[in-house]
Parts: sequence; structure tokens; C-alpha cells
Amino acid sequence: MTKNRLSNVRVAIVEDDESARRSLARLLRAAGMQPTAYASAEDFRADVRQPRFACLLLDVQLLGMSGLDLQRQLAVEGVTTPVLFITAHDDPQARAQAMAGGCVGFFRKTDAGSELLDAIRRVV
Amino acid sequence: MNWITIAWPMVASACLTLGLIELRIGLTQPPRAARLLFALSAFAVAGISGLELALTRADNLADWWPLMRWLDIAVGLMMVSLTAFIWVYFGTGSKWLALAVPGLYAVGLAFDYLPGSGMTYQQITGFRTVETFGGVTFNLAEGVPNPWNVFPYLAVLALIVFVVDASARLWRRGGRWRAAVVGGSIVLFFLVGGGQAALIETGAVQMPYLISWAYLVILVAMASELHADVLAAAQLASRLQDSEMVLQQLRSQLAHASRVSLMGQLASALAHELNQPLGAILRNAEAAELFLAQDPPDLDELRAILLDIRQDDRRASDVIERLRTLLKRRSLAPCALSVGDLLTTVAALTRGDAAARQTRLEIAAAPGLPLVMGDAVHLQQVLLNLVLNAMDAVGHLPAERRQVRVGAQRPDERAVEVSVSDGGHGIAPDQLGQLFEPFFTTKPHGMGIGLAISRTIIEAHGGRIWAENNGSDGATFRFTLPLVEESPAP
Repeated sequence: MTKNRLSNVRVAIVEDDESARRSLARLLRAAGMQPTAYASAEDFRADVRQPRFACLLLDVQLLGMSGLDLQRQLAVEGVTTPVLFITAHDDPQARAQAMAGGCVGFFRKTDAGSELLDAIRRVV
Repeated sequence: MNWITIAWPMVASACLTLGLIELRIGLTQPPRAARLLFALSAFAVAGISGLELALTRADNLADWWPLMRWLDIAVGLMMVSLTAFIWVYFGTGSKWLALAVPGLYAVGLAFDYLPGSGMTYQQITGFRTVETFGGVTFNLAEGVPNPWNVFPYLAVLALIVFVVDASARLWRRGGRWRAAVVGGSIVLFFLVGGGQAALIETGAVQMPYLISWAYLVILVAMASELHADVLAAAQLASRLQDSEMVLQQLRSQLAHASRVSLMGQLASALAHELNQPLGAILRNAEAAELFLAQDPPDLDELRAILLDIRQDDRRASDVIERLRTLLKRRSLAPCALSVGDLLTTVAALTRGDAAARQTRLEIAAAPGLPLVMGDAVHLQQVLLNLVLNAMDAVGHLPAERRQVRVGAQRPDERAVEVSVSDGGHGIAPDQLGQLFEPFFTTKPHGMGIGLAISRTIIEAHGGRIWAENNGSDGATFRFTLPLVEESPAP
């Protein structure tokens, strides 16, 4: 029944580590969501045919434009899609900056996936 | 078996050997003059020995005379070279006594070339065959000693007084051992040798000349002293080698300490490197639980998950293994290695740090590079150091311009060159030469150790390391490594 409620929830994942990207997408799929994965913020920006996402999962540290940069840019453009951050390196400064930018969640990659899924469910 | 024909050549060859050894050493090693004079006196004694043997065979005046003249010349040469040796080797002595030896002997020798006379004999009356130990026979000249010719004896006396005086002076100066061994043996055996010759010439004893035997003992005493110097030099060399080894150990410890400190700088980045695969494993396991709860479970998805978990597990253990290798203390052990692999490992170690600092790290090795001779861990240390420095150099730039390029190319037939370029401020021209000096640093909290150790490591590999400013902005650090075929392990 959870699956039915979430089956049309589209989530964007921006994550440069291939294995992390694949596993996260898999978890969302297993939870019944429809993830679209991007390897960089630039790829995400370049995808002109992207659907309307219910929320964005951004890695903080990305090669090139960082997740925080992307969040800032989207805010400037008036995009209001909720943003959740994931990071392999819990840096208090980055966390503070992400919170200040209005993110709805900040998770370490080693945090439980259920917490991440709950956070997504709360915003959709 | 005639032992005389064996014993004398043995003395001669012993003298020749001693002389040749000292000649060989004396051509390159100090004290050169003393060694060459020693060689000269040893050759003279070898000559004396040969002439003594020939004299035991002579049974007529025509054979005997030239031999006796040559013997007198050889004895003179030996006495003069011995005097000069003492003068040079002891570094002291009476100049007048030293000059008296050749002077007096030359006057005595002149009698050999005066008509109707000789240095030792006025006249030879005949030859006798004498039997000695073991039934061996030899010839002995009989004649009237020359009563006027006291000069050779005066020369011997001058030499003995000179040596006693020089030994006493050396003794007072503290060179007691040398004075006693060299000076003492010369005096003692000159008395023995000279005395025996005098006894033969006055007809008191009937035996071959034993001058060369006595002098052989002197030569051995002199050589043992000269060789003590060589041995002392060898000991010094071995002590130097020992301290060189200690230095090497200290260097290796310092390099290790610096590696540990490098690891400290990389620690948070390495935590990031470990968190990536650990996080992926966690997500996969969670996804698997959800897939298993479905009916029917998606077995293909589950298989893919298990495969990914396995790969991530290996990735995490690789990170730990790299860390462990770098932290292990070990000395330089070069073997054939690929520069491409070196760059890949360093890329893996610094990727996390580069991501945290939002620095783009471009790593590209030219294709088909030959293998180089090197120690992977030590070279990783050098490269890590250069990459971390380069990232520091671009740290103040806006994120989009923070770029570090690591490359490897082959500038010539003999080496592979690795370069690390940054787009920072570059290096002040007056600091380019000092960068690799120990404790030189341009960083506020730098120790000035990293580049100095890098240079030590690269030079131990037979390579070169240097820095240059780029044309537009930033600096490039380069080092070379010799190819496998060119240079075997140093």
C-alpha cells in the first residue's frame, strides 16, 4: 500500500560516486519511488527533459559544481522543490550552510536508509 | 737439495712483494713519499739478496768483481733510501747526519772504481769452497781487507746514529711505537747485518753474506707500520660506513614520520573514501530487505545487490590496505613499477580530499610509458606531498578555478617524468632554489620537511626533482625516474 502511495513520486539523485548513486536509486525503487540519477550537478542542469521532481537528493561534495552550489542556484531561480542532502563527510560548516539554504534533511551516507525514506515521505 | 739456492730467492721475492705492494699503494695513498722510498729500499734489498746468491757461486775474479761492485751499489742504494724513508716518515732527524750517509758511502764506493783497489778488499788472493749446514757447499773469496777504506763503516755508523737520534726525537714527540719498532729494528739489524759482513770480510767466519736477511726483518717492521696506516684508513672507512647507515636509518624514520603526518592531513578525506563504499553497502542491504518483503521477491535485483556489496567491500578494504602500506615503516626497496599505477593509487588516496576542497584533480599518464625503477610507497609519498601542496596552492581561488593536474610523460630515452601543476600564485623566483632545503617553508604552519624528504627519496632513486613557474599562472613540480633497463636498483 506504501508502494501505491509512492509509485508516482519522482526523486532526482545527484551523486558523483557511481556505487553510491546506484545503491541509493535501488533503495528508492525498492521503496516504490521513481528515482532519476545524475552523476553531476551539471548533468542535472543539462537534462532539459527532466520530469517534475517531488524532491531532490543532492550529494554535498561533487566534482565541479557542489550540491550546495546547486541548491543556491535553484533558490535564486525560484525553484521550490524540497532538497535533501547526503554526504560522506559530515562537515558542520556544510551542514549549517545547507540548513540556512532551507534544506529539509541532511544525512550522512552511513545513516539508516529508513530515516532518509521517512524524510522523503514527509515532503511529498 | 741446496737450501742456499732456495733461501736467498725467497728473501728476494719477499722483498719484491713488499716493495710492489707499497709501490702500488704509494702511487695513490699518502704517505706517498714514505711508501715510494720504502719500495725503493725493498727493491734494493731484493737486489742485494740476488747478488749474495750469485757471489756464493763465483769462483774466479772475472765473475766475482762485477758482482761485488753491484752489491756495493745496491747496499748504498738501500742505505740512502732507508735514511730518506726515516727522514720523511718520522718527520724529524738531523739533516747533517742524513746527508753524511750518502756522502760517506759515495767516497767509500769510489774505491771500487779506482785501479788496483776495491771498497772492501785491497786484493783477492783466491776462492775457497766451504761446506755448511746440510752438506751444502758455497764459494767464498779470500783477500786482504782494505785498511784505508773506513768510509762505508762511517756511513753505516752515521746511519745508525741518525736513526737513533730520529727515533729519540720521535719518541719524545709521542710516536713511541713507531720509534721503537721501525727505529729499533733498523739499528738492531744494521748492527747484525753489518757485523756479519765485517766478520766475513775479516775472515773470522766462513758463511755467505746475510745482509739481505737482516734487512728483510727491517723491511717487515717498516711495512707493518706503513700498513697500520692503511688499516687505520680502512677502519675509518668502516666507521664512516656505519655512521652513513645510521644517517640512512634516521632519514628513513623521518620519511616515515612525514608519511604519518601526510596521513593525518588525509585522514578526513580517507574517512570520506571509506564512507562511500560503507554507505553504498548499507543502502544495498536496506534495499535488499525491501525487495525480499515483496511477493515475489525480485531475484535479479537481489543478485545485482549482492554483486555490488561485494565490490564495495573490496573497495573499502583497498582503502584500508593503501593506508596500511603507507603507514608501515620500511626502507627503500625499488622494483619495476608502472607510473600509471602510481598515479592511480595517489588519485584514489587524494580523491576524497580533492572533493572536500572542491578541487578538480586531473590525472593523466601518457600511454605506453615504460616501467620505472622505484619503491611504490616512497614514490606515493612524494606524489601525495606534491598533490597536497598543489591543492593548498589553489585553495584560495574560486572553486571553478581550483584545478590540479598530474601527468606523466617521457621526456627522453632514459627516464619518465611525473609533473604536478597548479594554477595558484606560483613561486617567488628567489625561492625556487630553496624549496627543497630542509625547514624551508612558505606555509604559515608548514614544517618545511615534505619537499626535502621528497628530494631525498627521488635522488635515492637516481632521479631529479625540481620546480618551475608556469607561463601564465601557478607552478609545476617535476621529478624524473630512471627506466628499468637503464639503472638497476641503487
